[in-house]
Amino acid sequence: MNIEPSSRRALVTVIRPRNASRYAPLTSWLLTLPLLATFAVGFLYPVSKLVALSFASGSESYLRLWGEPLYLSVLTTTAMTAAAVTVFCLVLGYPVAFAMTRFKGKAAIITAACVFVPLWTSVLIRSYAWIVLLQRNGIINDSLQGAGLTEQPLKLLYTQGAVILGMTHILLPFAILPIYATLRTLPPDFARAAANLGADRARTFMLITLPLSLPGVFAGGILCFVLALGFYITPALIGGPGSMLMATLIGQQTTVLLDWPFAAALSTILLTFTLIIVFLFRRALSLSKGFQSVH
Amino acid sequence: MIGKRLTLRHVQKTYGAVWAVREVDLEIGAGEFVSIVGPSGSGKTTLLTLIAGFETPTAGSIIVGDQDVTVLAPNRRNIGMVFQKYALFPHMTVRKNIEFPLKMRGLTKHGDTSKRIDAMLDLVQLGSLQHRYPHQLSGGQQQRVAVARALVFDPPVILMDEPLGALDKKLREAMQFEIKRLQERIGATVIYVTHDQEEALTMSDRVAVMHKGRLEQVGTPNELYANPDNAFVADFVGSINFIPGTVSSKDQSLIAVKVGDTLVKVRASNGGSIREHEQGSDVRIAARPEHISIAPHGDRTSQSLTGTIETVVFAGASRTALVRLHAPPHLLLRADMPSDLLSPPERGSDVALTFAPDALRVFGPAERTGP
Repeated sequence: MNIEPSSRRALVTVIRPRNASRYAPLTSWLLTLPLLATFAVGFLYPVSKLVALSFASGSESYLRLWGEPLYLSVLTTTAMTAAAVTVFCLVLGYPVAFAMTRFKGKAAIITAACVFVPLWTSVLIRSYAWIVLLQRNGIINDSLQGAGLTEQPLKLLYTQGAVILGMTHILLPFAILPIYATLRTLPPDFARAAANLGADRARTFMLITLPLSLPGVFAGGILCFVLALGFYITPALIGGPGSMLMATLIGQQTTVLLDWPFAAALSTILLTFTLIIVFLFRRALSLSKGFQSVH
Repeated sequence: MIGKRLTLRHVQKTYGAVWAVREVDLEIGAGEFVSIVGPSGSGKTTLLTLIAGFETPTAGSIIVGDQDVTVLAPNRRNIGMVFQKYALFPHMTVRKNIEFPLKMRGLTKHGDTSKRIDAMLDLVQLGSLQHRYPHQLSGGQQQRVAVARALVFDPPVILMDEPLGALDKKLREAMQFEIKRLQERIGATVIYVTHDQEEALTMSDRVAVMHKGRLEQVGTPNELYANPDNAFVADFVGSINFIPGTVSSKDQSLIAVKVGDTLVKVRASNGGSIREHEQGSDVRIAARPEHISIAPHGDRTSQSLTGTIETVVFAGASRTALVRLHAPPHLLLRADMPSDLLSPPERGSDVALTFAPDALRVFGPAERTGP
């Protein structure tokens, strides 16, 4: 075979890497191909079909959505619920993540188990567990009455509060883990330097540790928010009619009313909204200076 | 002069059953520049951590000026520190980093704080880069920010933990002078940790050699080089040859050590432990390369060792020869060759090595390690 040296060199760089720690471009493509294929067939194709379906009868579905206050209020409720869940997840999750970086030995194992075991348990089971806890003669109402704090059982289940509580519980690990990952990679020298320069523990945390862990907070926040936007089982089980969310509405349209074009329009709206949120989060993150050097 | 005296009294630190620092006693004068050198794992960084207050000693006390700070929280010690990897806050600009300690002391309300930061920026020549973030700076510039941040609040004691370790040789040498210049100008007491003995010898008023958690010897660079207390210090500070032999005879002024068939004479007053070596005991002669003179093989005397030159290493001003001794166990010695030699001996040629009795030292035999 007679190949020009220059073209042979070009061929070699495609097949063999220039740098030992990297794959050559061709190898990288080959390795990612199965995933890309699955992604194209299992995600891109159905989603584009869905978007196309939503425009099956022109913009009729979208006009209907826009014209009916109920649908818009479901969208607002969904966004508000997701936002509330995200805030609760971050506020409750941060201290856990922080503690996980400090614990050693048994305490570390127990905390990790408390974070991971719920994650490995079915969402369905955890939602039913909340029903057991929150129902009229459930543990919480019983103990409240037993303690003489309330006379009548409170309506805890099938409320917006129950949905937020249940979703927060289920999504908490998704906030904890990214924050933990970020805190763990922070060199202890930063906190030491702050202390050495005269900062007490509170100020070291507020001025150094917290700002430097914001990338993890953002990552956990966006994960929780996006997952919460599409939550189906938990709101369907423990939410009331007044707290209908987008996923429940879409489910209703497809399985009960069989109005596929309208369901597709609702899905497209939810997808677009999610993408906008992800984009804005990424923008906010890339604008916060100084983080490039941390991660 | 803002420097304060620093006293370490019987300072110890153990982690479980592991000793990190054993019985360290050290008195550092106000404004003195003291280096702590030692191989990695010798406890020098732990000692610094104890002085900074990130950890508490298991026993002993640490005193700055007249104040016992042994159990004081690190943020209340008022000790500056330059970290090995600088630990500049990545989300703050150069100026904000330098401002940080002043802010923590509630000084930012004063009008002259801004001037103080400007002066510090000028001192380390970073005025034009003050609004950059640390990751936008080179290693040497980051190093200067770290120094400025540690100096800006006028701490009486400054700790430096291998501050130049991440820089290349040329920059490191430039920074050594810069740090020394700043320290002399400000008059702070500096404790400088490094594993680079050359750096310690260049910069310090006194050097403390640490080994396995203990201070082996504390002294001026010259004392350590010329009068090492033990073989570890002799080996660690500068380059040295150890030649095993047995004491053959000794009198008031000279000790004769038998190496192979040769008697090497050593001035008896050189060192304390030397007197304890009885006739017939195993010892090691320690000779610096510059104290061994190389002569042609034909000029050998009864007091010279013979060998063959294996390699000649060019080291700038001088040349060092690696000479393989003829006598068993055929040791390889480093000997400096005078640069003005008309016909320097070449590789492969046989030479005679002679020693100046005054410059040699004698230590006990090497401790056996392992089985």
